[in-house]
Amino acid sequence: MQEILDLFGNVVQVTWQQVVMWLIGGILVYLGICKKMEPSLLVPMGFGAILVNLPNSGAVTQGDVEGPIDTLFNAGISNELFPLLLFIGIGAMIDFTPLLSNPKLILFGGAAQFGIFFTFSLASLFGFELKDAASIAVIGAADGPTSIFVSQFFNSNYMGAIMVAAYSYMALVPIVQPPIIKLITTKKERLIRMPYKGREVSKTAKILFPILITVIAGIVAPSSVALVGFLMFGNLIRECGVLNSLSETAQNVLANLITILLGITISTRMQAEAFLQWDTLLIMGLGLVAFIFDTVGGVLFAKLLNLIFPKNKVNPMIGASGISAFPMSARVVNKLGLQEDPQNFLLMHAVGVNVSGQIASVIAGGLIMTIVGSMIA
Amino acid sequence: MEFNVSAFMESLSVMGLGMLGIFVVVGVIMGVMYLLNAVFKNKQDGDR
Repeated sequence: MQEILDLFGNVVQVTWQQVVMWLIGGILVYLGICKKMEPSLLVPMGFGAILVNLPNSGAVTQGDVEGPIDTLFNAGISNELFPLLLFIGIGAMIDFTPLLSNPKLILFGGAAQFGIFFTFSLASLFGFELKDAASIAVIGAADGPTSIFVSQFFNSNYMGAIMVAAYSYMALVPIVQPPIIKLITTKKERLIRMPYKGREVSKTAKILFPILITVIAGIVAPSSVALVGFLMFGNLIRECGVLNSLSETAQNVLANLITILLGITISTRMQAEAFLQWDTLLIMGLGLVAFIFDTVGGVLFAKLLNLIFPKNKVNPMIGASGISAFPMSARVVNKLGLQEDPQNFLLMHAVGVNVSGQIASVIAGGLIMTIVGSMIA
Repeated sequence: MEFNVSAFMESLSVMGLGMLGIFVVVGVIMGVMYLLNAVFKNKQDGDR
């Protein structure tokens, strides 16, 4: 009888907090599979949340015995390697032609990072330490690798919550953005037409672009060199034209491989004692604020430009695509434009702003690491 | 919940510096893009 009790003794060690985390993990899996919300991240994270919240789980470190998920975490997250490798794949997927053919679109990408800094201030007001406030703020980068990189750089205590917030809201962009855009624009503004005049962009320009961006961003914010550099390296192997197999590998095999490992590895930070805090709810709220004010920043900047340049008005909705959720945000804006006017195709402008947001979000991440890092030092 | 007003006030400088920094960098990048398009606008070199 005693042997039987010893064999199944682990059952009675289940805590209610772990059961709650199983439910949260199940919800993430449900959202990923049934609602198709960022399934490549939410499904592994959700399953991982269940794995790490089983009593005495062998998947995580127990005493002196390191669990495999913690091994993966130390191998790829704590040294920021996995997000950087993923960025090679993302860079290889991005076509900067719509931006290069209309360079001023990058200004909207810059404006749409306002939510990051606004959220940093709000998080500071709520009493988060500088390093945690900065990590939470970068949810507004709408970019998983940047969020992971910055939160690991600051060794944030809230990485699990930050990751869940970042990837959940990226998937919720089609729900979060439209009401905000409609709230701060008039129907007349949403009807502004923007005919697309595609300008030819030379291959040489497309090859030099990632190199020059890396140098510029790296000189201004040296903390961002790894992020920008790996992103632009991916783009360079795409654009150079002589590394097509590497580009294909980066876009598909590498990106998928890292994504598989990233989601399940992050879950080690979703153990109940770390995740189930009131701060987690607050972080989820702040993440939403970041996305909202990113949208507000981009749109209001466009409206400001329309005031300054009334003869060359832009449809202010394109400012909302400066959020780095690529390509979802561009599709959202295009769809809104077509709803207002079936002849108003905003997609190419929105894509140009969207890819510029990718660059701007990485620069914002680098700047926040530099500025807040020096404050902490 | 306690609000840390002094930290909030201090963070405003980060907000200002950060947004200024972003616009300076994207402004430079915008200039670089215009320069690239101006220098490398040879149609024989283009691929679209």
